[in-house]
Amino acid sequence: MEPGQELLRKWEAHAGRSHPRMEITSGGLMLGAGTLLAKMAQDERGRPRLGIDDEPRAVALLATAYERPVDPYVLTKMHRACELWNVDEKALAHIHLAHANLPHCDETRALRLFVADALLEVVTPSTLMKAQGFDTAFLKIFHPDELRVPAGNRRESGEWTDGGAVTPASFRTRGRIKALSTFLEWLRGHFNGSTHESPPEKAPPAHEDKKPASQPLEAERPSIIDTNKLHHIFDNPRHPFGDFVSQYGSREAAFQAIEDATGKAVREQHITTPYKIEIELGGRKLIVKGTVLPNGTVKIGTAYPWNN
Amino acid sequence: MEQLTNLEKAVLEKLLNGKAEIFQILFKQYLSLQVVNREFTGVGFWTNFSIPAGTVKLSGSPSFWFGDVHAKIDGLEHGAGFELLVKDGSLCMLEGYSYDEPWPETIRTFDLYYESGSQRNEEEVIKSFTPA
Repeated sequence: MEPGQELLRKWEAHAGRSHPRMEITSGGLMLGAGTLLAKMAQDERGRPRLGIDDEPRAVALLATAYERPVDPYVLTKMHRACELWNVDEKALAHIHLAHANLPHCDETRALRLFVADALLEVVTPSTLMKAQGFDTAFLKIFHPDELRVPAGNRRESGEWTDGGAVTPASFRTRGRIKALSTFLEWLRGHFNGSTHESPPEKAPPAHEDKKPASQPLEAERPSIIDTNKLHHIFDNPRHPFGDFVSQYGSREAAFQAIEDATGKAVREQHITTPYKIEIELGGRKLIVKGTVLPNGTVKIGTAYPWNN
Repeated sequence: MEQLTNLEKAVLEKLLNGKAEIFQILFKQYLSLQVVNREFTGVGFWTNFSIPAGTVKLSGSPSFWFGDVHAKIDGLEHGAGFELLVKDGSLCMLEGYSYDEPWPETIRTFDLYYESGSQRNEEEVIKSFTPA
């Protein structure tokens, strides 16, 4: 049986365990079809203890599930939830998980998470991230003092490891990354109804819809930005954006940048009501007005540059 | 000549309802303003005004934005917000916007409220003016 088919067979047995939101169970911090983002351990007195002890693994798992690296804020909330759970504040722990605003883990994402978990038994989080074109810097921002491969150790020296034994070099070659990319592409095609019966031997062409490697996932966002919203914000002659849009290449990208910065600011300030905030982007100070929906989604009503 | 809509009238009256001199002057401008043009953007609108010559302007001709009024509107699940632009001491433009929802073609009923609740702190509102 092909490895991919074997994985899918195992998936069939897991698919019924639905955890569309992060949840702390006796096994640990769970998401999707029973995938553990952090496993329950025991402290020195034998009491259950939960912690994101392997952050690179959690980051790689979530990035694979959501096809984009997650915002560090999500990890912060996960850590806080673990801390609270360990001191028996279970309700508060789940509130922090809810405030992570991680999008709904549907069946497709649950499958990607499941496969990523299996792959991480044989490859490093860094390799899994690279195979998907994601910037491995997202693995490095959490534990700067984490163990690394010593400098001068061939091509990937200095790379972060998951704290245990260094993965054999054969798993970290470009060929392995290419094969992994091919497998993930096959998996995507399989789930979308492709006619492939097994993973193709050669890597497929580059994705046309490849996700920007440097843009972290911050919240559930619509697949298409409303052109009316772009018109409302950028075409009003009283909103002097000047060359702001050209800095980002398009109105969509400019709006995305505003949306990302606003979402981050709103979460940092714990805003849960209609808001008016200042952000700084592209060398300009902007005012953004909007609201926060009951489910935590941050909406933008309007935005304009202001004269400081 | 275009006229203010009922929603625009209500929003402007609520925004400019204050004892501070700045609100008093702007309210007098409101009573004589004319609508220059209006554009519905699909997710809101912007309406530009002109003030007749001789109407008293704000001292120092400041330019700023403010908008502490929100609306519950039939057809908008998440409601709407507004922002008023004062340019060179005179009312210039009122902007209304939804939160990613299509702006209703017809607005029959609406309910306005201040961001701060039933009690409006004029000083805080004035402090919130954003230079334009």
